[in-house]
Amino acid sequence: MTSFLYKIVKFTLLLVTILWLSILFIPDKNVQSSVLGAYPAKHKLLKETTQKKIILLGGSNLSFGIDSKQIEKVFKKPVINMGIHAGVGLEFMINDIKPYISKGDTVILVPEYEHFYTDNFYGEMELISVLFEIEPQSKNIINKEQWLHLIKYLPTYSAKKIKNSLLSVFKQKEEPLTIYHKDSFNENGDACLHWTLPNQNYLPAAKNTGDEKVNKDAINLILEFKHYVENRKAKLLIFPPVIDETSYGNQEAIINKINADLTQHQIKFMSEPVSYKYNDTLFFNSYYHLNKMGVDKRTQQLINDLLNLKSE
Amino acid sequence: MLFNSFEFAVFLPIVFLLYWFVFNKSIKIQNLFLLFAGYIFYGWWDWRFLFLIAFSTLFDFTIGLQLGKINSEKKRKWLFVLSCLVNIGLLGFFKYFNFFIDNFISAFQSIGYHISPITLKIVLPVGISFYTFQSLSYTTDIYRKKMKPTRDLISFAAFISFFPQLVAGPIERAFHLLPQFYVKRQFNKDFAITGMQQILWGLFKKIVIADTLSGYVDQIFASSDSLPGSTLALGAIYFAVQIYCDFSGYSGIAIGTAKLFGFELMQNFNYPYFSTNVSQFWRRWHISLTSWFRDYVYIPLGGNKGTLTKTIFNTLFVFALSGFWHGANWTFIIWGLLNGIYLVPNLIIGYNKKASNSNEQAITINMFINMLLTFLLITFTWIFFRSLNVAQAGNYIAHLFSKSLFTYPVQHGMAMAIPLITLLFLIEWIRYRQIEVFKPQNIPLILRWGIYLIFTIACLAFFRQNQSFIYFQF
Repeated sequence: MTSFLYKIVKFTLLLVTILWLSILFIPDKNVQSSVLGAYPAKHKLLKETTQKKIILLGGSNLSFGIDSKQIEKVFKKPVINMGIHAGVGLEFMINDIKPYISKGDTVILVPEYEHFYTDNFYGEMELISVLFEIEPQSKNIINKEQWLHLIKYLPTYSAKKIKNSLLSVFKQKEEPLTIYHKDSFNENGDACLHWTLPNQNYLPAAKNTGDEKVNKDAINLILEFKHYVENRKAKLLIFPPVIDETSYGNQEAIINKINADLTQHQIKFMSEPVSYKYNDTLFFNSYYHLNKMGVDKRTQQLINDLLNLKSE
Repeated sequence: MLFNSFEFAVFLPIVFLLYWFVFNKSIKIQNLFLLFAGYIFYGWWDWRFLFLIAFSTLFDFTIGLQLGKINSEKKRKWLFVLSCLVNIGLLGFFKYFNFFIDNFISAFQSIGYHISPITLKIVLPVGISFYTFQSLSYTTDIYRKKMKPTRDLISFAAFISFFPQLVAGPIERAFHLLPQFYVKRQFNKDFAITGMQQILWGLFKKIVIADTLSGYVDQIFASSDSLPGSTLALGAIYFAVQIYCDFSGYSGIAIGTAKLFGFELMQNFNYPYFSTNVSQFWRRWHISLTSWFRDYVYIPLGGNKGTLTKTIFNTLFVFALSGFWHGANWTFIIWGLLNGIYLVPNLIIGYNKKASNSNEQAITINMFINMLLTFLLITFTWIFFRSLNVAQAGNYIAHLFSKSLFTYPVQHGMAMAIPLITLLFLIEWIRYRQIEVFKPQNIPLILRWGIYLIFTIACLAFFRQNQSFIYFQF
């Protein structure tokens, strides 16, 4: 038994060492050139915009779902779309944006529904990639509880780096510009390369089991964020994400629970979730990613909602 | 708790260490601890399921004791019928209630009667089909006087809830597994190392191959209307490999995990895709279920002892039943029946009796062609297994056998499929004559550890959260 355990321990130590070395020394070009690689450019945009601005905060439902220029035209303010990927987690998105909020800014928060009832809230592999590959200084805003959630992704992350670096031998040196490339965003931060492409097939969101519960941490964080934004003399507006009809049907129970919980805590959606349920044909390659027709419809609806709020 | 989850990666070492270092004083303590671990493992899905498994355990334990005590054949028969009714009844209620109600309503509607639906919101307990069959085999074997009932409730409960094989088999026979709970397990290093190798190979098949292919299969089946027949053909092949790697991967992990605790489970797969005919395939695929149906349904029905017509009927009946066991859907019944139909020509010419199940024969070109044909026949049936309903399967087949079958398949974003399938078949081909596929031996330590590291890192690199096993739904 002792010799068996000794072997297991030795093997585990060897494995951990290799994985750790890969985290430290193997660059992941796949991640650097992916949408996650757009973070520095978006942060730069936030930093350099000194006027009162509109910040769109959320996951890819925003990057693949808004034409910020149309909003800019109506409200005569710079619009920065911070949407990249839901997998970085709502907690990171919010904490990451805080230093950039100034007096007179409007923050439009559009979280994906998964942020409210899955571990997605704390961040997943995408967040690990951002922290170790794109913006290492962001590790400072990750709290202990979040690390506990993230730690399980570390072995996979480091093993993926090894895999990607081996596979990169077979890849072209010049990465082609794809819809998930860091350079696929326009100057406002909207992913726009797919606007001219035909729809692709995708799977709708899985059907709810009925046992899903709203994560209180998500509600508390939004409440705390609201106070933070208001203290900075800025404004926080929360909107539901756009979602296809099929997925909405599959997730209706939890969407209603989220809506009820937010309303109960006085941080309700500015518009009913059902109003952002769109026909499946308006979606490009995921139940959160709109095609150009969908982008235009959603942008117009958001503009109308904002105008209505302004007039109230 | 899934085998390919973070939770299980924590659970297994803790249970292993406690089992061998703390709860190793006596058989009773070892079994009690395994029972506790089994209930934690099973309750992780839903604690309410524990009542069901506890009821099944107590019920069959009591029936077993009574069957051992009573001499009157008539009373024994009644007890056995009661055991069948309760076990099958539970399975029927949890798994098939809504299926029967829906079909009943459809049947009446088709003749003009409208009946308001009374479907219930029933949660299907994970693994119910597996442990019900395992439990039922216990009472059946006692009824047939093949074994004596146990008086040790702890051992019996630990046998029913033995976590490595609780939710998706192999479906063990009581006469094989239960006696292993009567003796104190001693740690055997070689046994444990073989177990670890099986776990690693099982995880590799599941995480690296099955889960990668599942993404492609989902896409292809979801868009079968718009894809060319050639891509649909690939989709069916990908699913054939996916389900094999998914299920045999699970079985490998189960068998390997059991070995870590000193238990030997039955082999569940024996290179099924290298079978040279369908009959051989069924002796090599999900062996524990096929042999269960053979021993407890096919042979009691008369097997192949009667007329040819009776043999054909028995075969088709058992295969349809086996399909129904998989799920409450006509797709599974058709899948089972198709496999049964494949066997009919062999039954007529009496080929099945002669067919060898040995891996020892030298492989000829003829055999290779037969392997390929058998693989294609089986792959065709998987279309029904994978489809959500019969209409989808029909649609898929219609598109598959269209002119576009001879066009170049759409492979965009599926670059890993062919290399992974090639790797799998290459490894299996090399190891064809061995019981364990993955057993690096007689090679230098550095090379052996290198192989282990590569496979482990591959599992981690391909790992995706929440990828359940296909057979968990059964």
